[in-house]
Amino acid sequence: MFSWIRRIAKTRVHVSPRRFRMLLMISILLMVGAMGFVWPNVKKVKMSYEYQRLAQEQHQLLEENQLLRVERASLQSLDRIYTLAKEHTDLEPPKEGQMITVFLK
Amino acid sequence: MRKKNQPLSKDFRSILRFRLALIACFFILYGTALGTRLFFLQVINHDELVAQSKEQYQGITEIVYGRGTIYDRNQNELAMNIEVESINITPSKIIDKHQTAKLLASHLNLDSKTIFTKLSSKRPFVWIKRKCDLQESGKLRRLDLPGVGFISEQKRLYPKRELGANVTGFVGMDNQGLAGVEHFYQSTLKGTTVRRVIEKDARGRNIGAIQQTEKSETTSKDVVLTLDEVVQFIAEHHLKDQVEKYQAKSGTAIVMEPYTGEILALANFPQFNPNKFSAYPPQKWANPAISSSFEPGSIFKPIAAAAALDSGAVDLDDLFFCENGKFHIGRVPIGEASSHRFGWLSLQSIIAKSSNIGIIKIAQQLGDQKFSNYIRKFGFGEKTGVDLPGESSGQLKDVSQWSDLSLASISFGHEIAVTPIQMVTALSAIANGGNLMLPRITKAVLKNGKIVETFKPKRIRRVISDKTSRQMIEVLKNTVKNGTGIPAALAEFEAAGKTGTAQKYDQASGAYSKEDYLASFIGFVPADAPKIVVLVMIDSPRKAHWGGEVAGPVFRKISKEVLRYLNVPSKNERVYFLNRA
Repeated sequence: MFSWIRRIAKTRVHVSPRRFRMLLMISILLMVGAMGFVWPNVKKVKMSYEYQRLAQEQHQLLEENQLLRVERASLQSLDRIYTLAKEHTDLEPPKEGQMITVFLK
Repeated sequence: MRKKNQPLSKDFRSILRFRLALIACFFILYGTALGTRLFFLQVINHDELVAQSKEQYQGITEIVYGRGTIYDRNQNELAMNIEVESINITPSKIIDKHQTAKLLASHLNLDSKTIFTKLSSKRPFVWIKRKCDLQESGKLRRLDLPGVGFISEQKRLYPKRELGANVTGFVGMDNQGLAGVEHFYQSTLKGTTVRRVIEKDARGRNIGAIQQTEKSETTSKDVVLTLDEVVQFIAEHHLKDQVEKYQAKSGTAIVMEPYTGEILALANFPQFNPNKFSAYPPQKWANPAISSSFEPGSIFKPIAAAAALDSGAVDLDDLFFCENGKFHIGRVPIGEASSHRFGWLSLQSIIAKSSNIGIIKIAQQLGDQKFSNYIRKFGFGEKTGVDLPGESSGQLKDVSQWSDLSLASISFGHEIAVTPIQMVTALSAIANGGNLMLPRITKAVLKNGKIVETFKPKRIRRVISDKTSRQMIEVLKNTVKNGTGIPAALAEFEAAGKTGTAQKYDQASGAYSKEDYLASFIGFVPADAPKIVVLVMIDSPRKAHWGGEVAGPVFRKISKEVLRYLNVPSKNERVYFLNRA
């Protein structure tokens, strides 16, 4: 009933040294080929991680930049500047005769 | 030990055969089970599993191109965005609801009972607080509470707070424009969110670069206004001072370039802070400069005078008898302000002294039909077309509906309702040589910092001739020099303008109020080469109510500071021309 199993068990594979070398070479080539295929993908994934990190950093910097822009705009509020000029530094608008207009040609 | 090539015993063979049969059965059964499973996975559950696997190795990332910025004419930011976080919860994932509610309430400054109700919800997603402060969300993030999520959102911010708030308007929770430029230019300003599919690794980290989107299709546009932040501040500052000084209800000031129709300032008082607009009553969100109409009173007299001069019905030197202050139209008595009694006056003096009877006589020379035509040519009775929402067209009856009194009433600014923007546009036409310009609040549209659309000055029509315009400038100069407009006169520049003191109609009593007046002044400087037209209106001032006294000084202060800012040298100032070479 299971004679086919017995047959397989009795089978011997005979490989000549020449054939063995050839098989070895083919195996190595296949491995190099596989490495060549996998390596760019591994590199791509690594670069993606780096890209994501940089994108995250860029996002944070942009966020910080935006906050600084808001702060600058708030600090440049004329109402605030007017109050500072008037109450803290006693600045006054120039009087008649204190101004000279210069036009550049 | 058994010898080599010795035949196997019968028992051993049968045991071996049995074992081999057992293994074969196992493999057959295993193969069948595997095949069945594969069939289920590959055929029956194929679509579902493909979707599941996609979900595991693919993620959706959102690229938010926030709402466009609103700039003043010098590209100072008036409305911009910041990224903030909104807090949400997944109630099923929260274990200790009481503790979570307490922590959320203390960190977000909310009521713990309300939060607990939300935590007890059966819904899978519940908002706790939208657009939190950065500090609030930061503190909460550090607590790392289970079931509490954070979503990044763009929040609109108005860094100049109240400055020009009625013009810029504000946005709702989902950044949709609700008022002002934000509403009018919603389609231009609205931001876009682009969704991109990217690959994820086993730990959920993104791999693979996000495909760049077409900038032309995605980025939002910015709007540059004609408003000048400095001019707006000057107008608001002086208007506020005067409204507070005279304990008035409200005030409006408009500064416009007469030759282009560009609005440099559009100030209203009281103001509101658009960053927290909901804290103010909705009445304060309106822009009365364009949405409210009023009986203009004497500031309408230059319109009647210009119409009469342009039509040739009267001449500048014509004299009119002002009936010594007592005049009747039918049975209706018409008098002068402050019970003045004028005799014979020229057109110039009628405007300068603001004689009601005098202007009626001028309008009578013109006639109903012609006067009505001129009023419409000046743009009254219809919207100016300014690019702001909620503009009113005012009220002007058709000439066929005019009573015997209408011509007289309208000539001195009653029985007609105009908006401040209509009034300032009409006077700009007198100042600029006779052209009615389209008033504009937007100067350009930017995309990626580059101009993609500009709004050039647009002439609607010629209203009066250049000659009439020059004549009217002289008339209005005289009003400021020798007439009711003296408080508006500037030492440094020659101004032209007209005062107005209109009694307000009291709806309750059905008569003109004896207490509430609309004090106004409209004029332009420098008179002979106008750079700006300024309208100041103060509603229901106390202590005093005359336009010259209440609104005139505001005109003077605004004009002086704005001209200085615009580098227009005064007549007393030393001016040097330097050659760069």
